[in-house]
Amino acid sequence: MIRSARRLPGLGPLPSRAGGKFHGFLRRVGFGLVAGFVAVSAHGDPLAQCRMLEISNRDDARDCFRGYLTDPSPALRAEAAWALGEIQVANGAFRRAAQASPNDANVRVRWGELFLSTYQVADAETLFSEALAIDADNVPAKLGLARVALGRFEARAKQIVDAVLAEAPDNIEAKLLHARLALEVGDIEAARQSLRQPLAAEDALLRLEAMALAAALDHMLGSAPSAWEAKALEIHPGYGELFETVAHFYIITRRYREAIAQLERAVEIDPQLWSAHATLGINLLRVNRFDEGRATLAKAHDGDPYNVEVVNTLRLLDSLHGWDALADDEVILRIHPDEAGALSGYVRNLVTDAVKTVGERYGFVPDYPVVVELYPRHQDFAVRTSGLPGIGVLGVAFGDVVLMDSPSARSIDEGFDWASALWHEIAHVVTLGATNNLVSRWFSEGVSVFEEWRTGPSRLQPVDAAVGAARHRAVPLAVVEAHREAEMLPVAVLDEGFIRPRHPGQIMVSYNQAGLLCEFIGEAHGQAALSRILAAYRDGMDTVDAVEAALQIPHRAVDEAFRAYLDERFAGIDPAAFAAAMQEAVDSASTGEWAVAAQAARRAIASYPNAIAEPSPYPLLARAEARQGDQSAALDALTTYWRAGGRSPAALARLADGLAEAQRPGDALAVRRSLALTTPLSIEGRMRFGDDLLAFGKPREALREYLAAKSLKPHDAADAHYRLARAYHRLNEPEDARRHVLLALEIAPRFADALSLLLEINQ
Amino acid sequence: MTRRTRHAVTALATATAIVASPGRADEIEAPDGSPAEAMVQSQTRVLVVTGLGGEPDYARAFALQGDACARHAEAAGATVTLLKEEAAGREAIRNAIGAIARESTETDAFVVQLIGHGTFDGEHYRFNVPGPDPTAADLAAWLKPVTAKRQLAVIATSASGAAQERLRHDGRAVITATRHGRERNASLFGGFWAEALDAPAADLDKDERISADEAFRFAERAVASYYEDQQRIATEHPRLEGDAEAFILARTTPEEPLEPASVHLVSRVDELTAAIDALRADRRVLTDDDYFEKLQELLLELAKVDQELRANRQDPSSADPIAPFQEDAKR
Repeated sequence: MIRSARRLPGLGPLPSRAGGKFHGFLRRVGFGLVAGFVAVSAHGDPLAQCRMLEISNRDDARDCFRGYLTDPSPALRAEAAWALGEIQVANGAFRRAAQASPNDANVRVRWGELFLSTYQVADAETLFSEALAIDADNVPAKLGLARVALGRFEARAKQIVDAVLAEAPDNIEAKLLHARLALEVGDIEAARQSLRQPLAAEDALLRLEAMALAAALDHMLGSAPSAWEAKALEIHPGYGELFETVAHFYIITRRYREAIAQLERAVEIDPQLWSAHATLGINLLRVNRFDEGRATLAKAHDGDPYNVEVVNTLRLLDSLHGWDALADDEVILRIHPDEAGALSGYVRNLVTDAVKTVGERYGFVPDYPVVVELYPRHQDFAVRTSGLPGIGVLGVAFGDVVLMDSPSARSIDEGFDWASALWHEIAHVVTLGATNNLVSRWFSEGVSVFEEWRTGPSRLQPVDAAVGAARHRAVPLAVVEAHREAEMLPVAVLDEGFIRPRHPGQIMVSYNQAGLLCEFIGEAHGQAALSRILAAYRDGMDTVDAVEAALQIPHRAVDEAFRAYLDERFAGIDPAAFAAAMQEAVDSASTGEWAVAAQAARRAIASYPNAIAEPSPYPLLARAEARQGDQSAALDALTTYWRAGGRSPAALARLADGLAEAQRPGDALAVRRSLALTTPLSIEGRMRFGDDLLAFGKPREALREYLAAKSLKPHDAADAHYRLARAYHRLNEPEDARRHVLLALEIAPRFADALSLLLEINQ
Repeated sequence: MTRRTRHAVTALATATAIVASPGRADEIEAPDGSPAEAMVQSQTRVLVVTGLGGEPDYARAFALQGDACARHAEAAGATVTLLKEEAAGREAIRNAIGAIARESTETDAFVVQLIGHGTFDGEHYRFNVPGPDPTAADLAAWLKPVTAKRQLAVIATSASGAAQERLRHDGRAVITATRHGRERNASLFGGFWAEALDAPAADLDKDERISADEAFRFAERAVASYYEDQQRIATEHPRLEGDAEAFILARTTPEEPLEPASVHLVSRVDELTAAIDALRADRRVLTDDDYFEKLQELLLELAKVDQELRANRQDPSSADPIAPFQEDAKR
């Protein structure tokens, strides 16, 4: 079934309990207004009485709002229509109100809130900005922008709220936002401080929101159920947003099962809370409860057909019909049928290896199957992950469920080393599982990055006495520069670099910083120290306590020692010299001055050892050496590149061929293995690897490669059958050998090699 | 041409090479010496034209593609005319086709391959060359006097689909890089077409020869894969009208001469491949077991004959070069 994604081009009627990805606190603006927010009156909210009736009797509340639908004030009519779910009417009335009062900033703020509640964030942002253009001091407009930023996980949300509080320290709305922001980054004390005043607010709806946040705070501290739950329900027994708010914090700390329990309570006490149904459905999918998730999303869609996340996710689920779900005790795979044959073997091996290798290093080997889903279209992965297309990540782990771009979604040339990314996600499965999802974001990411470097399929394998050999995996130069500019975050607040980055580059820096920090801890304090940190998180400690308990030094001392470690690790790396040398190498190569190119490439390597990201000097050096006739030096350069984790398919193919020519079949086979893993959907690559395996006396492995290649529907079907026949023949499985050689010859009766094999099989 | 006929042609081409040198269209005796089985050897003539590149990269690519097409055709025994760069003007193309028209006979085959850019103004397809561009109508008119009954036109340019209707003719297969004239972006087809002529994987039936049909299928798939891999909307959809299987454009291995004593083996190969074709046609009425049992029986005999043939092969350097491209028509 295909559903249409109605993106509210003209704002249709909205069911009265609809909400968006911004969770309950945004929806409140449509119902539980406070006087200061209302555009219609400078002296108070004429609709306050109606809004309060929402708590005690919804039918009475609706009657109350209906009474305002014919009010002479278009702004008041808009508010009433909005409260009744008549979104188009509300939109039209706000438009008229804005035309009638072009200098009234509050009208624009309220209109913006309407857009925000119906998922049209960009329009909302425009209206809040227009309001501020009219009135630069308009606090509701500023807080509107803060909510926009909050929903986008932008760091400026906090900046705006801090600025409002600096001017209006008693603003309850701002305090609630401040508390929410503090809680999101685990700053319990700041959240508690910010909630003190709102919890005593006169406005019952604001008080309820404060109670919901206070309950969430208790849950984050492991104190559940919270006493605030009973208090809030005493005021408003149908206040589903209470549990929806708590669920939000479980979700952002990746505790999806706990979130589901909260959301189930939310929809139980407020069956029309469609946003909670939607969030519940999406989170049921995250824990692999597909059928329930789909049914819940369908319900959410029936109640609120405008929720884009729901529409997108349902559409994606419809498109998954026919996907293969391949399950055993260790792995459950969902893979597109066109790719299943080629990928399932590699994925299984990677998952099994990673679970064992990483699990044993951190003392937790999951005893439950890991679910892996691979999406050939990045947008499908994004929708499956967040309900919306356009997310920047390539893989995500929801506890024991891993979702990723498939290797066909983007190539290694675009920097997507899918096997390494899968290893990274499985490391998350370990750290999340080991701590019941209590691990901090930075540490989970740090371990994943570190294990990519240390144990993953593209791990660093240092080469002694080779070109540019270095002990450590290279990190992007932007990370080196961030360290030198003192832009790295202290460990105590490193999570902020992931959750609310101050600039787009900070996320990448934070990933690498987290990996480097784990590397440093491992080197300075031993691998066991990393396991101790993990155990501390499992016991409910926050980052500062966990780090200090595990390392027995103050967290600031950790920061200091880490800085010194990076000073040494990055010593000698010269970004400017690297760029200049690379430019010279490229220019010289283009004019055929190979000696100069080689010299410049060597200088580039000296100024940035193990540089494997594009543009890497190693393949260039290899080319220059080869052009000068030094094949051995060319092979050395490419070997260093490969062992440092370089995975350019063209470079690896050259290396494998060169090693084979140099009569080093074992080395050639190892490189060919990397190449096949890097580009698993290359028919030629899989066939070639199979040939090498067969020549190397590994017919069982060769057979797997040939079967994988065959599943990709090669153009030359006769040849594919012939190779399978050869492998079966070598395995002494004559019936399969005969079947495939006959299939090859059925297509191509004059196929000389196949005819010879047929004779051989029949001898 | 059916697969069965084609295999017969393969065997005969090999056999006649014992007594005939390429380039001659003579009446010759059948390999078994039977006077009643006289055969006429045909000649294949190939015209390859590379048009204007417009940009150095395209010019270079078109030249390489044209060279490859000509080289492979020549290696397969055809008589090749290659026009490129400034020599590839409208008049030169007309003259080249005219010369071929004068020299060729009905039993000959004629292949014209145009590589480069093309345009379509809604009415006329034009092949971009130095000076005035020839249209599809021009090409059709110039091809009229060519008496060769088997003809193939390959138009590997943008918008070339617009030439399909104009070039349609009895006995002529037409391959274009695009489905119609509105596919106007620079075409990738020519590159993959040239690549096919050098790709063992293009030889789907493993007869060591690459037919135009096989090259088309290889290039068509490569074009589709390219756009799929790049996650781009395909701006070209190659099109083949007519039977292109009979035109051999390249060999995957050089042809090796036969000992005269092996000629009867070639005939047996022909019989066996024909029997395999017949068996395949009957597959639906057989059980799987029966089908594969019979298939294996035939293939085993074919394998033994093939083994004997290979054992009998002469050193290629000691014999006249053979003309595998030439297709002898048994009459």
